[in-house]
Amino acid sequence: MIELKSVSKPAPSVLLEAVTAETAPTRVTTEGRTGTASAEVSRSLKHLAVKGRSEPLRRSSVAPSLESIIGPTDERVRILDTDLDPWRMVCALRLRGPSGGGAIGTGWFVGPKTLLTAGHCVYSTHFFGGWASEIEVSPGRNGDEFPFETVKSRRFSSVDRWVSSEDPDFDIGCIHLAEPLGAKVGWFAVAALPPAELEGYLVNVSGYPGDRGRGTEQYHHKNRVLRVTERRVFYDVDTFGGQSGAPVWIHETETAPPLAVGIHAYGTGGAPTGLEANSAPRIIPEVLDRIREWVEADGGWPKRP
Amino acid sequence: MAEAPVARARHRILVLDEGDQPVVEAVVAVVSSSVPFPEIALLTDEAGAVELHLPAGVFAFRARGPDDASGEVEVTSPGAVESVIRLKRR
Repeated sequence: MIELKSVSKPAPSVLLEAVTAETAPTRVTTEGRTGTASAEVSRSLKHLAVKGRSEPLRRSSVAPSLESIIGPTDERVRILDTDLDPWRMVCALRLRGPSGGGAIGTGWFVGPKTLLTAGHCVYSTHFFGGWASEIEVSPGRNGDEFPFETVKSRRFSSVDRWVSSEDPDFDIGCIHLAEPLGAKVGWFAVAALPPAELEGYLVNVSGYPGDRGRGTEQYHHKNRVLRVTERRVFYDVDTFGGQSGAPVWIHETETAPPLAVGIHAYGTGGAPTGLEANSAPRIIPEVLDRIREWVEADGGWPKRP
Repeated sequence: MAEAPVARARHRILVLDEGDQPVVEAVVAVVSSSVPFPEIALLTDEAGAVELHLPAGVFAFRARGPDDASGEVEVTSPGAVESVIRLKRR
């Protein structure tokens, strides 16, 4: 058990109280919603997303030309029905630092006014010299089409282990919105699954890479979880810079809703020896506690009627 | 106890077109690295540059311009404080 504290960007945001992690059950989740927008079933979800457990869908056989494109070919597929569930919960991010420098990232809703993303999208001494200044959020952006409003935020949070040492195991960030845009587009259920339960699942990663569409088009790829460590999950899913912060999700059954289990953040650099895989910090119980805290600070989840 | 932040070296990447003019809003991302590096994509500023602070290691950066011309550069950190990517159309 570790102690993980929330750290928020200083004023004008309200500082969140540090909360000591409580003893957590082995499996904890938050509840997702599909939102009030169109209930039409996504054909991409039906045909592209992977569900349940499996052996690996493919194996790497040729040295890749790009770090995070694993295997001989780039198998990412563009999502076109981004106005539908669950793709509309995934947001194109435009990040701005204090110097005005810009960057591309990805975020996703976990509550009506709350998004998760990578910690380095909100706080980075690499890129911003500290906290980002402003982030523009476009749910389900599809090239020049914006199916929903684009909103801006200057209120961000992360966890102390990221802000103090930028440890990749804790590369977790939060964007707080003033507008309840998640009520319209929906939000992901989030789960802290024990490593043994997570191994063997097929995972989906969908985000906004910089190499295709310059961060305006959503791309999805899928494969099996390769390894789960105490705080990270590794997978050979093709990604590229700009997909940082994308949701890593599973479907427990063919008909189950998406369940987010990680936040995509890294390419193969730094993967364990002998493992060619991209990775995400896992949602562990202590992280889930912080997510609950962030959503509650934004007004909480509505009760089901 | 929290670990101390890793020492980093400031590095500037300048993106130029085939006429050696700065390219504004080019996308710059790491495509391979010897150490963990975030999968963020940076956008060049009005001077055609991005600035970042790199930990010790070797990094390959790829830049892509609005016209899809692209180029790469390898950076060893700590080392030179600036590198240049010249974009070429395929």
